[in-house]
Amino acid sequence: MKPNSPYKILLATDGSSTAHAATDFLMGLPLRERTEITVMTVLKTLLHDEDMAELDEAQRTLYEQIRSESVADAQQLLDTEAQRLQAVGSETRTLIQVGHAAEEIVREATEGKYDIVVVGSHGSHNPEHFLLGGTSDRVFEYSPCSVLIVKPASDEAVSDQHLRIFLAYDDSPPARAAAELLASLPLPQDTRVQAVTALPLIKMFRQDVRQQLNWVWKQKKAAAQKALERLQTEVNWHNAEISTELIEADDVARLLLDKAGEFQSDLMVIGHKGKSTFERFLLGSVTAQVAHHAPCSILAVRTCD
Amino acid sequence: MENSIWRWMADESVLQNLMAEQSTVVLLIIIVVCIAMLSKGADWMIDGVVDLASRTGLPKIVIGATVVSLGTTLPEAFVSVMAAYMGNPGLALGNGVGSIIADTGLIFGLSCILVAVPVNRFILNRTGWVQFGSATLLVVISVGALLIADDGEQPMLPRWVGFLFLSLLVAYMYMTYRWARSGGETGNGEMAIPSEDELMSLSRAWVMVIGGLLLVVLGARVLVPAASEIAIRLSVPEDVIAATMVAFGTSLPELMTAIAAVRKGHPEITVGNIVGADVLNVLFVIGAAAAAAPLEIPANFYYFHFPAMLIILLSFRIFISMNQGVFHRWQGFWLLGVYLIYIILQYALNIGAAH
Repeated sequence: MKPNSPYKILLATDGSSTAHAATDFLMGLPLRERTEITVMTVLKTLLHDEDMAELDEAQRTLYEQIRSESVADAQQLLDTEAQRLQAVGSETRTLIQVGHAAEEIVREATEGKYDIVVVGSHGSHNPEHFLLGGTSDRVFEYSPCSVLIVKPASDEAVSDQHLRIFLAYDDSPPARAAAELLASLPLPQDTRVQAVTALPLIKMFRQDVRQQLNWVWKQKKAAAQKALERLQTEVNWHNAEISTELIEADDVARLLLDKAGEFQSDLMVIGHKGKSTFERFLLGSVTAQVAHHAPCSILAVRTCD
Repeated sequence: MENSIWRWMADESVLQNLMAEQSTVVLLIIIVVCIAMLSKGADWMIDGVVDLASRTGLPKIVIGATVVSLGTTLPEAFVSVMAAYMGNPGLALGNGVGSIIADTGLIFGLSCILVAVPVNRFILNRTGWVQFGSATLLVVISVGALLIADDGEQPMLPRWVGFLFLSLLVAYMYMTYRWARSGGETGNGEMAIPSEDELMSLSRAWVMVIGGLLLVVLGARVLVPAASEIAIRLSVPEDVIAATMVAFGTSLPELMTAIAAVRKGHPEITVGNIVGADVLNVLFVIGAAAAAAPLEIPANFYYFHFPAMLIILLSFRIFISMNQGVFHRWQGFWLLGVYLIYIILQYALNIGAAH
């Protein structure tokens, strides 16, 4: 983001309860001054051009009537969501696109040079999600900028009123960008930030025994510890209270998710390296696993390439 | 029923006849299942033994240099010893040599292509020379055996060579421990006693050791006649099957740990694993096999398998001397290329078929 340019947020909504929750979540977030929020919805393509050509006059009129009604409904939805955001002081605009939801959101994020895309997640238990992959997963995977996936609030209410943020930190450029972004927000008084670095062990054939003895591993561990100390001392966390932890684990994604659950996080923040499809297939992505299974809303911060 | 299972295990001809009755597809499935058993069995065994060793308060460095180091080579060792014992020397030797080529060419080559593998000079200037030295020693002894063999007589690796290799193995493991203490690895006096929640129950540890051992023995026992039968069906020598299919299968632990190391961003452990596995393939796998029964050396080892092994290992040594920080991607392509040519030539030219 350029220093003096406004902070641009793209909020995608489809009128569902999770999309509504995404707006609620955004309204509760401590946003920077000069933040512009574009509230967007995507209408499904009902008929393609070649199908339209086959319609007679009456059918065409009926189709256009249906389409204009759905556009009006969509506009009403967007206006309602925009008004809610304006009520908490945000500057908003609305946008309707037609096509495939994830594709259109990613296209708008790319062309509009947004800083963050916000989407609600329907959860991985949804049968449609199982078959087609969720819109939030696709947006997460292909978006050129940071993505905030808002998940429905857990039934287990958090005991205190403090905002609890879990930062998965590996000292990579995206992780540093995530920490800087978090620290730059006007976080409420007594916000609790838990920063965790997880070093991956190779447990199969008990290679972890040799791995932990290797001097390279010791160096990596010392560097990770120092990075956490820097995060605690060199970053100005203003009102937030930060604690750090360095852990070693076989399944890093699982452990981060467990730790975030134990911390009763309201939000997980993680750096997203943005691997290519080939790299994701071959090397996997901890960020993608964490984003998919996160027990709370998650912000994946991606740096510009 | 119990009686027939026992007969399968103990009576060589019963198992061979059983394999001969199977279709080629079924034989290939049996080989895949055996390889999975070997790999999983070795994993369980190492897990159990490390757990038991940790309870005794053995330093981690000793456990790392012995149990864990030997663990991933267990499948090769069991298959080769079983093959030697059952009178399939081509399989025993081919598996050992083929595994060195698969580890260095396929696994290390692939790792270098995927990520920048750091050059660990401490390991490479010590274990790295043992790797090249032990393979060269095997070739020198084999050439010596060829020179002293009478006309028409097959050169042999006698049992004393097996015991010599096993003695060198003990010395090598001691040196590995010493090198680890002197700075290559850290945590000299660090005991391996983990907390209660990190340890499994004692009975579970023993079940994993015994269950793992049974899987490895059973896998090796069935794999040898199945591979032998496949060689007959494909009209190729046993050592070709051993150096390609069986060596690839028994190198799966190394492959799996290399993939995990790359995926988890710690490729540095791959160098030590591959170099160590190469040493153990000579001293442990071929050593134990030759100690179990004298190994005949088929003629194609002299003009094909040994030269291929030396080309791969020599390339590896040249790359070490060339590189400053990391192995380069083109070096990975070279190693993988040599491995693929080695595999393809064996089937394309039917190496050793006339023998």
